[in-house]
Amino acid sequence: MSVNIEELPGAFPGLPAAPSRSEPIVSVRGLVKTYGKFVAVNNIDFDIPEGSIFGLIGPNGAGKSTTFSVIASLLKPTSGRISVAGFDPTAQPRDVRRVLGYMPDQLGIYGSLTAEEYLRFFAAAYKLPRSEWPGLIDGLLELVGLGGKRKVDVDTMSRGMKQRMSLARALVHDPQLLLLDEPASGLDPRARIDLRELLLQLSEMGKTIVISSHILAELETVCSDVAILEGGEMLVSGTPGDIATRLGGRSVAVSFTNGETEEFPVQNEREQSELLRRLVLEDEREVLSFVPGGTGLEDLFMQITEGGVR
Amino acid sequence: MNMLFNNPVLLREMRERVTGRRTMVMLTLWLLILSVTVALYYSSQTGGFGVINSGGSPVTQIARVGQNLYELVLFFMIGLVLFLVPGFTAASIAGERERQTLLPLQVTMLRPVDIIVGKVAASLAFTVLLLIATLPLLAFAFLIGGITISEVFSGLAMVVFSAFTLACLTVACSALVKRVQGAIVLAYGLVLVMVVGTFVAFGLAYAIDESQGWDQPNPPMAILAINPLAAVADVSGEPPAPDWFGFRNDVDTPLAVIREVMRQDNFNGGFEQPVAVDNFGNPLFPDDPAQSGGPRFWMMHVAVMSVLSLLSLLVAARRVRTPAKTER
Repeated sequence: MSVNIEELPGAFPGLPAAPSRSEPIVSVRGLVKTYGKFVAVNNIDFDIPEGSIFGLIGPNGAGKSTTFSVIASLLKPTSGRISVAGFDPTAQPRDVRRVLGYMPDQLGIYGSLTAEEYLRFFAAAYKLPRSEWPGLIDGLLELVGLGGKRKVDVDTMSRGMKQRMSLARALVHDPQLLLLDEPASGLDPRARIDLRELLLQLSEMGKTIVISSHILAELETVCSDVAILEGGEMLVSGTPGDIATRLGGRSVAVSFTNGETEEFPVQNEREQSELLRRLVLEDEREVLSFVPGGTGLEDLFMQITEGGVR
Repeated sequence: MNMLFNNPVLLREMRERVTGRRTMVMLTLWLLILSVTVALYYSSQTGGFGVINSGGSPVTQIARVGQNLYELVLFFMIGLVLFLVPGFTAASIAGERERQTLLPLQVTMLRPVDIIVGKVAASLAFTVLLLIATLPLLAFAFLIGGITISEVFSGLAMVVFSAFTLACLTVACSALVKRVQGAIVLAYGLVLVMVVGTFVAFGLAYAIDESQGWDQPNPPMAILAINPLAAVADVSGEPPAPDWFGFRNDVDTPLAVIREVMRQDNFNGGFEQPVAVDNFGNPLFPDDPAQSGGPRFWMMHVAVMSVLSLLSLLVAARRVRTPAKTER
């Protein structure tokens, strides 16, 4: 059963108005975070468009979790300006927490509680009206596919289920923005697919989702925007298509029924579409498959990190 | 009050700690041990209706048994507090860190003080349950006689106060140290310093003072200001009336022994000094400041520990406050 979380009770009456579509929901300018002499994040800038699924990509130690912690109002930046739905996480942490749901890279589950008790605890922690808890909890458990597990101890659940419980916890106060730090780590392929579908469903509901991961394949199919971090530095940000264009274009691999495969350079999706039309209609060639080549996130990441693109 | 009764941290911890078989087993064991001890002590002091000890009227003797039983139960209660509270509280914040459940809590609308108060109250709840379960044994001592109802309540109040202050100090240890193991070691180390360390320091001060002159050694009672055992000893026993020489004999229980040790001191108004009295009970030297009334030792203890507890709560709340400069 699909549930629209926007219809669930639990939104704060005093929730600030959502910014206009043209404004980014998160804006980061000149963010620096140091621990003593160690620079975890070095002067990064990026915007997260509202309603997007934004991938923060980078290897372990790139500064993704630190950036998340600063956005989630858990860490003070050493310098820089951050705005989350118009609020400053350092000066207005409680306002930020009203609009933001955060799922850290560790599950952080209280094993002794049932699924229902666990969500009830967080509904209380977010100070949601008690009368709204039953509907909210039912809706959330249905949404994350754990409707039949409400009386099950969280401790006895599989990692995938715990991950979904963790996501439900982040959604309990109906936030505009979701920060998911390595949400798919440790999940089996089936659970990853389920999670991806869930994220797309949440995106359709209008949530802005920010995902960090070092596994690029898992972000490739869901992210509308990405930023690539390495060694605390922002290498590039934008849509995957834009980034590919900035890197000198993309290519598509076309296989024909005669067994031949050719790679065609294209600049953007329009050119890609035009190429397909030309091959089939004008050249009357028998196309078997048409696969974008060399433009996946992995390829982009490798090009960027090796080429030192800024 | 809302911070306490509507506190999700407290409610969750209560559910985890107070429900379940372990609680029932601990409660049963505690009452069993204490009841057997009280029964053995009572039967060793009395034989049926009579009283074994020689001297004095049977009424005086049974009153003494009542007083001693009361102090014995109180000693067990403060012992339980010193043993259990650090163990229950040390994992409160450090455990959340270890389980990685602190971050999700910190991004909710709970304030740091909500989290800390919830943790302190939760760790106290079970101890207070055990203490309340002990009340029938205190009532038994009261029924035997020799103690007043106000003594029963003041003794109990001091034990509960000690549990509270210890929970506050331990929650600060838990917030300061990252690992549960470290927090437990720190908390029990602190208890050792408070209970044993202060007595050792007091004894040393006594010895140094004694070696420096002919007058009565006068170590500062402030050394014991953080000692919960000394405070319970002070609040629980009104020393018996002094004899003609100004000496009192009430060393039948551990708390009375502590009182006797502390009475070596000349703390003004603290443990009552062996006041020399005339045949009518009037002080022989009424102008001596050391023998005049003043604040009791337990009052100094309450004042010092209240300040320390408040500071501990502030330190703990500061440690879980976000945004923080570093990840904690």
